[in-house]
Amino acid sequence: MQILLSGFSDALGQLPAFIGSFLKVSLVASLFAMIISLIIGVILGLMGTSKHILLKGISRAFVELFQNTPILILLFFLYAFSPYIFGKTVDAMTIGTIVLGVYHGAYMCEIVRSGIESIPKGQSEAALSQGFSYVDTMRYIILPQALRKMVPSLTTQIVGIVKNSSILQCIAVADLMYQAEVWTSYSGHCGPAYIIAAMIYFIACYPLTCLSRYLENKVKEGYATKKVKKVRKEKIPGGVENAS
Amino acid sequence: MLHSFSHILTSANINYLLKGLLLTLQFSIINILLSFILGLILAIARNYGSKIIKSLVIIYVEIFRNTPLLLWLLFARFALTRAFGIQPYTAVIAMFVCFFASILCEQIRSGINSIPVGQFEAAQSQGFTFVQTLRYIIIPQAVKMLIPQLLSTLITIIKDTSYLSTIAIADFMYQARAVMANYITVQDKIACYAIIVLVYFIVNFLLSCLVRYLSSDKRKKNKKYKLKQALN
Repeated sequence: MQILLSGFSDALGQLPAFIGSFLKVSLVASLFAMIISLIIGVILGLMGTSKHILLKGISRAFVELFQNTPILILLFFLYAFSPYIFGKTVDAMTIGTIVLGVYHGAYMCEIVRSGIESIPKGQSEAALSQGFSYVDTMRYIILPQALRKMVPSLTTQIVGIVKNSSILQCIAVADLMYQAEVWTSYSGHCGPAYIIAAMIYFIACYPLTCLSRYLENKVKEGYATKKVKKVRKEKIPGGVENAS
Repeated sequence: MLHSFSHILTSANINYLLKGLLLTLQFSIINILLSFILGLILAIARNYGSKIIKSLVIIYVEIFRNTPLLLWLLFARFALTRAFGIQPYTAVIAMFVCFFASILCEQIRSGINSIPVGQFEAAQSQGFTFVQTLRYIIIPQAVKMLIPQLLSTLITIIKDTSYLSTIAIADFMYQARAVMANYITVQDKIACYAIIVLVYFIVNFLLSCLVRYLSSDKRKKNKKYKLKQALN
């Protein structure tokens, strides 16, 4: 047990290097992967809720393919074949970002699709009866309601992206895990680098998990109940002006 | 392309790949069973334990939900084996069980919390002790409801066993990459990757179809049973 904590003070001397690599590599890769996965997720999610069989099939096939294969195999495949696919050598961090974005895009697609399908059909029927086109229905009526329900799950997926950015160490990108492993093999102290890396990941991900739980509770309350309470409190003649 | 499939899938290679697949499936099943047991203990401790035990379980679950699995695998492979002198395979199983027990703890807790309070009250009125209530009434119902989610977690475990290949434990992906090292042409390598993706896809897709079947038709089955009981 003592072996796990030996050399802790030496490892703490490396703390600026660990935090620097985390901020410069892991978080940057997670940020770009988050943007890519949100774009892919929204587009494919909208395709998955449409009525055309072809669009639905493409969305479904994409989701099934990327939810049932490990992320590591996608990473190694793209790393080995990137010159053939892109026509030029792409650096490893871009490859890792693309793989993370596409893999989590499948999960975002499922979240978007279930969020849109949880809105009662009466909303879109009422919109159709008022003469809204499909794009206007989505933009003004369905997506604002669906986004409120989707946000907790999206935040949980963002935590998953930050955690999965640890796979970048398998293609020799200098992120936090790579630094921890290199320091471990260099100094021979087996425990402290991993414990410090775990603490850094925890400090980065725990606020997001708490945010996700807070948003989930807020979504459960809903905005309508609060507004009704407000109108009831200010029930004086001419109450229409007071209702905000 | 089909020519490369036929000349990669020789009987020696298929034997090699099947050994890896066997180890992956064996590893996953041991993990889901052990993490289910540990997750059940943690869920009961979290719901019905004293304040100290509750906060310890909360700390444990939060630590493992906010850190990546690969970190713990490297920790197990390099630190735990040196500290406790155990085999890497055992250390890695222990870390996997700790990690997935935290996920299963949350799922089992949501299952137990969704059982109506009336069950507890009825059991108390019949004279069951608390442990007997849990054992004979609550947990069977909760587990039956949770089986689709457990199978989804099994799918996640099967996908995460691919990380073992980076720690030099001979699971399916390690064996497949070893087979791939024998072939040089681009088409052969693409065929090898296609085999890996196909095998993982088939195993996980069958499990997810099972999950979908179990979570959709079960309600219809229950309605039929209730109707039969009502008519008889």
